[in-house]
Amino acid sequence: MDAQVADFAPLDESADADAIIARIDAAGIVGMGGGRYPSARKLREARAADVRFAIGNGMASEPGASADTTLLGQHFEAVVAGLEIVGRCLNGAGLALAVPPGSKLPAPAIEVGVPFAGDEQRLAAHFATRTAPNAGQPSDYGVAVFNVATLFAIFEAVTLGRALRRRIVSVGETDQWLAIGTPLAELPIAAAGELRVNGPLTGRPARANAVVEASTFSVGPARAPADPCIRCGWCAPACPESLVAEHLHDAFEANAEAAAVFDCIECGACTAVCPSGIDLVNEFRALKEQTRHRAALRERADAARARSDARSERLARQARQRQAQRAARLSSNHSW
Amino acid sequence: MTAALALGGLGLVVALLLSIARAVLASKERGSEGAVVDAVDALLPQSQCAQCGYPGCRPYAQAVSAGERLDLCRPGGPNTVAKLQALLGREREPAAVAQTPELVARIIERQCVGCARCIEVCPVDAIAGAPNYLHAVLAEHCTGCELCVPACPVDCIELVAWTPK
Ligand code: SF4
Ligand code: SF4
Ligand code: SF4
Ligand code: SF4
Ligand code: SF4
Repeated sequence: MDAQVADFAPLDESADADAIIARIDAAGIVGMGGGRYPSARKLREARAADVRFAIGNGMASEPGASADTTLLGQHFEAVVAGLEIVGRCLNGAGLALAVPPGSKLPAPAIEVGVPFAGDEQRLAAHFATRTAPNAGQPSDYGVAVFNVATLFAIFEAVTLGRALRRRIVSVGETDQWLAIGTPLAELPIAAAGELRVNGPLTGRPARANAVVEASTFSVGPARAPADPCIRCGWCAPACPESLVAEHLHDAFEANAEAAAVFDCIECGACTAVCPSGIDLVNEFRALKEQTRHRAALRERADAARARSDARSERLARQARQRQAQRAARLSSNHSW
Repeated sequence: MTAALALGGLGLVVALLLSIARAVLASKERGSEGAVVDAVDALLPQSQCAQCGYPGCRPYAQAVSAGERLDLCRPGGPNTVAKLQALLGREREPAAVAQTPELVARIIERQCVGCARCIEVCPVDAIAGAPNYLHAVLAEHCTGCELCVPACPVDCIELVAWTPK
């Protein structure tokens, strides 16, 4: 991997935030923990929001997705350097690197023992020592979260002048450096059947012709077919947003709408406890989409009704006016 | 004589009361029927496309309230049928309607001759233009009802998939 040539001139300590962010933009870096959000945009927004705390996310909370942990083992200093570059862009924000309990890494690593803290919102909320407000973004409470692979890519782009071309991916039981754009079908694991990207809980079934993307941190086998919901109720206490996943699951099955689903942060805690193996997070993603779509259709219909009524009124008014004019003409004819 | 007058007067009063009662009852009935039509109308997609065989959504809402089949609205699709069934308690009725994609019209500028015929038929005033000038569909108002398509003499209106903004 060190054979990669430089794409840009390396930036040194004197580079200001604008130059660093422009470089991160040019290197094509996006949220590599699955989020895919352009890192340059995130940094600009964090600057505008006067974020005072940046967290490296090395929690690796998807079962079987050890790529981030392996990356920390291989390139801990580079990840920390990436975090420091982020700190320079955020006017010397406080820095921390969140890692799972038992990682035994030196500062700024902090072991976080909260379940599902790999979820960006939950992690930010943990550091802001408050619960995540519904649908709130980490920047709303002064925290910016960057995945460790993103931080490594930032270090490479800024300090070594490298564009983002490859990343570490958990493939089955191993962690490998793969070129971005590698077709998943070319991986040996593809021979075993359908694949799933980014973990059994919050990941998604791999699409046809899927490739390794910048945000692909794990490739594994598809989930086993789900059993019907047995109404065990385990999902309810598992949810950090106090949702009853069972009810959302019912709404999904009934092809209905559910406004409450927008409080779901897609953390996968319910999926983790569901004994029927239901892919709840993906159901809720579809339910969000469906609910949004139906609301948009209603809005469209309401607007169309108003416009149609207005048109009918106008046509009636015009007809009345024509009639009145004709009547006026007729009576003036008579007076001649 | 007085008795006849009194009886006649009483009859008159009773007739008057009866007619008032009938009028009140009738208006009540109209009111509640109107409420059902409103509720049905609120669930219809408001394309005013007449594919249901009625000259618009409101007329179809009235027909449905009077017992017409629930599954005649193609743009509404199965979701609208399901909602109508639930609203009216007519779940057991057949619902033979397929999901159709939501559409929006678009005028191919290079071909438009500015005849203004499309403007006349658009039920929601979603087309802008004037005689002899290029016409355009205001996508945010268009419901994709397709009524303008046959109206265009040069066949330059196409329908494309609608996506919520
Ligand atoms: S994924 Fe499940 S546990 Fe997490 S917020 Fe959504 S419903 Fe709750
Ligand atoms: S945990 Fe799974 S099976 Fe149990 S109630 Fe929730 S959705 Fe149903
Ligand atoms: S088919 Fe549906 S959208 Fe079209 S006029 Fe009839 S009720 Fe309205
Ligand atoms: S522009 Fe055409 S398709 Fe769109 S609402 Fe008007 S008549 Fe219907
Ligand atoms: S009917 Fe066709 S040709 Fe005529 S104004 Fe409309 S789009 Fe243009």
